[in-house]
Amino acid sequence: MVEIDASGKTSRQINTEIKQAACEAEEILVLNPSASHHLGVGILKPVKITYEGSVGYFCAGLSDGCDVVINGNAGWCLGDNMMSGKIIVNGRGGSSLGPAMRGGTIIVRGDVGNRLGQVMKDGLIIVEGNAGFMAGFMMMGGKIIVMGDIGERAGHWLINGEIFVGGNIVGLGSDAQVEELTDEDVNFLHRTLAQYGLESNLPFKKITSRKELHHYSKKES
Amino acid sequence: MCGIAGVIYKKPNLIGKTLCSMLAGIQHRGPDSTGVALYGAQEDGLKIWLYYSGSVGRNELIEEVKQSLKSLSVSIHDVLWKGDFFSIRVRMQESIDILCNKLENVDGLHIISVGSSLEIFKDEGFAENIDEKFDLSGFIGTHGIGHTRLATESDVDVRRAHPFWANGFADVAIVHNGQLTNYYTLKRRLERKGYRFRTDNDSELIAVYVADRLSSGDNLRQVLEQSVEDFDGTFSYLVSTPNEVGFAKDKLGAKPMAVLEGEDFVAIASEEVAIRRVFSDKEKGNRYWEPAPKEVMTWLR
Repeated sequence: MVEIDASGKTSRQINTEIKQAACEAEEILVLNPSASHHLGVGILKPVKITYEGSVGYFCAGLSDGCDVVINGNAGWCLGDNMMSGKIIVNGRGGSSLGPAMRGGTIIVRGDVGNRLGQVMKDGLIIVEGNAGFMAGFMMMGGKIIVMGDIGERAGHWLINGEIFVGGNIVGLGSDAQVEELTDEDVNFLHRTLAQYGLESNLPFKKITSRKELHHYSKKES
Repeated sequence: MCGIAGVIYKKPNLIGKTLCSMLAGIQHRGPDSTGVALYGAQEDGLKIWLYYSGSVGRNELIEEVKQSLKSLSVSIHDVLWKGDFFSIRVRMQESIDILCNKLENVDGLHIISVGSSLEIFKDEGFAENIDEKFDLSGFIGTHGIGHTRLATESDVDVRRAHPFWANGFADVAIVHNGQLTNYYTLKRRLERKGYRFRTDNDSELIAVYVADRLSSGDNLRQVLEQSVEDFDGTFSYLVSTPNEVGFAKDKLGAKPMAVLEGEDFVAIASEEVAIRRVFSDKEKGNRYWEPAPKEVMTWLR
């Protein structure tokens, strides 16, 4: 394991060290990240990176196959465009969490900000707390599970994909609807949440697209 | 962009140093100008900070200022220069508006702040520059707000740098991150009420709006709640008064804000990275959150 002390260093200095360490070790421990931005961006190696403290904007963006643990809060756009891998946030998640992600899993132990999973294309996001305003904004695919409440305009302009909500839905966005859970959904929730040791016995509801905004009403034959 | 920051301590502390450190952490959000509004000990009379862009000498200028205020029963004390900026302490019976109008009759003179405990320090450049220029690291007080500016709506200069003093209303200041899209409508409405705008900066409107509502008897929380309904656009802004700091967030939550609340302090900033410059994430028991759209909150010092 390689230990990196980020105290007093710029994002570029810390990232140079992380990139170097990812070539040499399977595990990297970053101490005192102090909410610095752009940490661990573009790491394409199957490496475990643990941040002992909060991280700033765009952490683990453009990454592929990393196993990231954040023992603090995450800033905006965590895991932006990530291809695969896993990110666990043991604090609070910022706004626009997992934007445009194409695969992999993000798990947040606390609440998250606004526009959760904005334009995400695939993959899975689990939020143990509450999600803010416009969650799933223009989401194109993948799955979001919010164990707590979801804020106003949930699923706004949803194109594809599914949002499961264990708590209350404060309000639905344009072109979003609440659907009944299928047996397949129930199995998926049970299986997925059990995998992470989470409670699946909640009154889950499913938000999907009504497909009247970004979809043609007549299908090509 | 633009970065905003605020801090409240339960007991007097080095607020200048705290805010400059926080602002240095979000300097990337605004490299054009930096400023702070600090609240020190309440003193007799009013302290006025002025910026001078004219060409006459210092002694000559002070004479000109005295001449301009001659018709008022005002006494001027303690002239203190910091580069192109200087402060005076005044004791007077007249309204602040009358005093300010007289001062602004002097060519090249711009009022930065007026208050019995408020002092605003702002200039082009970075947090470290204003810290050094105005010796802010030694400033002791209970609360303050600060700003790093990336100019989007008007020129880069001292007059348009934040914080903005609420013209005509002593001891009130604002800092703002965002754009008000109904600026001209609201500005005309306030001008019809008799308010005069010193710049073409949309953030000055917030300062005048807040002053207007406070003077009509609303408390700070009511002002902030109403502003979220009245303002269009994207905004996160902070207001400070002699004993309160508050924030308001737009309907879309498009501009960031993070808050850390501890037992004897509250720290607010655009990004957590600013807060962590001063308040470690190793200390447990503090409450951290990102305010929701339309959320407003106030704290008494």
